[in-house]
Amino acid sequence: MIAMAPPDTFVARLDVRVKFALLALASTLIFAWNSIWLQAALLGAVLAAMAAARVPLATVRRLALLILPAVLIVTLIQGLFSPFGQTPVFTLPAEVDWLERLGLDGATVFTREGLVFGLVVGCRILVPLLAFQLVFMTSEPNEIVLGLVRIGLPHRVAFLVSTTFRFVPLLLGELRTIQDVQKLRGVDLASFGLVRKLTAFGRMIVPLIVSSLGRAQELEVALQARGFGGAEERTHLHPGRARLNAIEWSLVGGMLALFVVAVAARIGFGVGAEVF
Amino acid sequence: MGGPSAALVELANVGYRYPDAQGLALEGLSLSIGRGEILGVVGPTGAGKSTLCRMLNGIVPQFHGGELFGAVTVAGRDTLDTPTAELARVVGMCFEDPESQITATSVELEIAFALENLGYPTDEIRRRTDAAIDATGLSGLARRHPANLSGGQKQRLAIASAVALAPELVVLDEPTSQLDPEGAAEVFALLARLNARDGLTVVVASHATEELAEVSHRTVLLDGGRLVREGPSADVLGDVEALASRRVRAPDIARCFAALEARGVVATGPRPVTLEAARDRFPKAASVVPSPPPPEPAAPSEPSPRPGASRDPVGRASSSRRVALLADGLRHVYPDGTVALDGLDLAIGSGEFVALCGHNGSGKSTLVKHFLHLLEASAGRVEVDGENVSGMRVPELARRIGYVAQNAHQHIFADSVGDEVAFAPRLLGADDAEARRTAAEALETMRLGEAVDSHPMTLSRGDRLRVAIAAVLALDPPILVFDEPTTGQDWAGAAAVMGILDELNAAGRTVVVITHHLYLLPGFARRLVVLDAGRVALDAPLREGFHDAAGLERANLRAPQTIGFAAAMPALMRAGHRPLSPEELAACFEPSRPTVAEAVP
Repeated sequence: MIAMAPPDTFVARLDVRVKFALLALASTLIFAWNSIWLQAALLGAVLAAMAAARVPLATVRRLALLILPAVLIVTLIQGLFSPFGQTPVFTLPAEVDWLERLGLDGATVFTREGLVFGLVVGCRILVPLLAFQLVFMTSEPNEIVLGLVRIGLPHRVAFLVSTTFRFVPLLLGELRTIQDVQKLRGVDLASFGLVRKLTAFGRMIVPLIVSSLGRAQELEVALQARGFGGAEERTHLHPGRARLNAIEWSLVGGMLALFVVAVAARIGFGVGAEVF
Repeated sequence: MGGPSAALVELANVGYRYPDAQGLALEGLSLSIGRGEILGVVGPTGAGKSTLCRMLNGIVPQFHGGELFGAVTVAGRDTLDTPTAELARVVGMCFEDPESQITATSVELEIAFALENLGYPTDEIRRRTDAAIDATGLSGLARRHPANLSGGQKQRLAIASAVALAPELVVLDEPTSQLDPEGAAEVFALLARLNARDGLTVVVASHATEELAEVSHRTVLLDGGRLVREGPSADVLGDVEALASRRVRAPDIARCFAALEARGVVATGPRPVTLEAARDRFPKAASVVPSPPPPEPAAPSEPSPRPGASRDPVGRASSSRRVALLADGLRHVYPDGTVALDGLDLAIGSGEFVALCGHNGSGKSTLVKHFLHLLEASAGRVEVDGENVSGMRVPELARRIGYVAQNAHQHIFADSVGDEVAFAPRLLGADDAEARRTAAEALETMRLGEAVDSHPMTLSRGDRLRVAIAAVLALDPPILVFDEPTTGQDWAGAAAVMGILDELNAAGRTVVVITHHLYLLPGFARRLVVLDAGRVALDAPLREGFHDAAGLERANLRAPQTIGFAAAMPALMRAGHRPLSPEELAACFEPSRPTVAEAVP
């Protein structure tokens, strides 16, 4: 389960469709733009929205740390080998034995262009991730389902999304038990190499699939018994507002306009195409 | 209690065959269920109880397919013509496992779910949801995530969702078999309350005959798809012999009276099925046999009868025998801050047969996970076979302690029984011939020698459990831990499992069994360890433990009815009798009639 942000903030009270729009905007523009400045602005905007929703700083830090290793590796490789590299930041010392063995001799220069490219990649992972986190921490699962239905998804599909939330922890728990049981039969995953580890996981998947199929059938029977799909038009205990209010409309409109302008400017005038 | 009136459900000569099945799952079944009635459905595994339940809202045959004969009418609707979604308005259903029927993320949304599906207006949903929350005692929990409810609360939530939609009739299929005793009691008390208050009609299939005897008006006994007995619950559940011949356990107290009849202590006649009725029926004049019957076969070690009497955990197992499992000042705190074990001391001697009981959340699983080294102690020491587990490698541990998890029959992965059982020996370096030999031996112990080449999925559930046990035995561990090995099995199945455990123990293995079903223990387990709030609340030989009502009550448990019945008779207690089983109870009294032979057919 995802911990929720406080429900009494402006962001949390927004209709989930507005948040979907923000998520869509953030995860498309970040790829449309190469400019580190525009990307930084977008990151800033998402962080500001998270701050407004009072998402704990620890959550942001956790996500940042999660992608840090990938960003570091990309930055290092790009910094050393980027074909666009021009401006040197530092040059690797010559005649260091272990560096030469890695194919890095004194001629290898770490460039600013490569460094910035690493940051750009980092932003492209981090911004959509943060936007997702923001949506899920400020909306109840049933709001998300309702929102998905209201933007045109069939209820069955939207329901699938919410059921996933419900059953993934259950399946993980079951996998854990199977793992424990096999461990007590001598399966010492920690001591296995990659290939044996994969085979061992394969063996754990068999009972997991069998029990999941059983569970799926039980769930289907339970759903039938509770009139799932029994009415043309589903109703809701918490219908929320079917219509967006003026503020929400203007937010969605503003985001759409920003998207159109940004894409047009990028294609027509190359705005944001250059890293700097 | 609202007495039964006009029929709500009508089954006329109903038969049913599942698709691809040879025989009929139900056959020639005629039954009518009155409004305001609580109907109990009992029978062994495979009797057709679930099929009957699922028939009442049309899932059988609409979802499962197959062939239906005869006619099923519920509130005037034919279940063949009326879609299940429509029948859902008149028949609420609850299933065995609360986990697989709850889909929403809060209590109120879960209750509203079915009403939303059927397009009720929002204010009607609100009204019915609030009423259901109120009726099922879930007030204050409306916004709670179902994952954070206890087992009993989850099942009450399932009942709330059912009555919110179908306020007239609720059908429950084994609603308490996955619950601890407290949860099971909650569920049955709720059914009785809804019936008395709102006239709710209830159909409940269950193995819990004591609870059924308390709440149900009428009981039907199914076997092999046929209705073999039907009548007032007191009559059907009191017919110990008829039930036993169909592999169904009668309420403990009815079995006591059958034993008392056989000994000639009480006259033959209708037997009481509740403790209350039993106290009225028992002759005041019955005279007690003066000297206590011989105690149970002396357990090799006699732990002190009072909890906490011995400060030294090792002292519990007599010095003559080795300690198989030891927890010394064991404390475990989960990352979320929950203190699951709070300085627990326990020593289990080699060769003991110990029952580990207590409510969900009392710390049983956490304790066992320390012995299995699946968890690290926050403080304290854990030893297996005299060695600290924290330094033990996985293969070493696997050779010392075997673990049969709950629903172990679901954990089989190999394509043949032989491969499944030979898996662990092969993994730990046995050559093929040796692995086969060990596997064959283990299968022989489980009396599955014939099945070595079968595919596990072709076996019955009980046999698959034996395969899982054999797979653990293949490494020949001297200590075995069983977690709820009897869940979901009928009386005969459960008794067979206990018999297996007993044999393994008789062969010298240390056996620890976690169970909620105290009535299964007499005759098998020798020692009772009850946990509560992460500590040992009671630790005594089974006989003393069962008769320590106060100790059990502190842990919110209750001994089987026989013990409660005996404990309420001062004369019996004064004479020092501590009967464990109906037969022992009967042996405490002098026969008042000369012959006993005619009492039992």
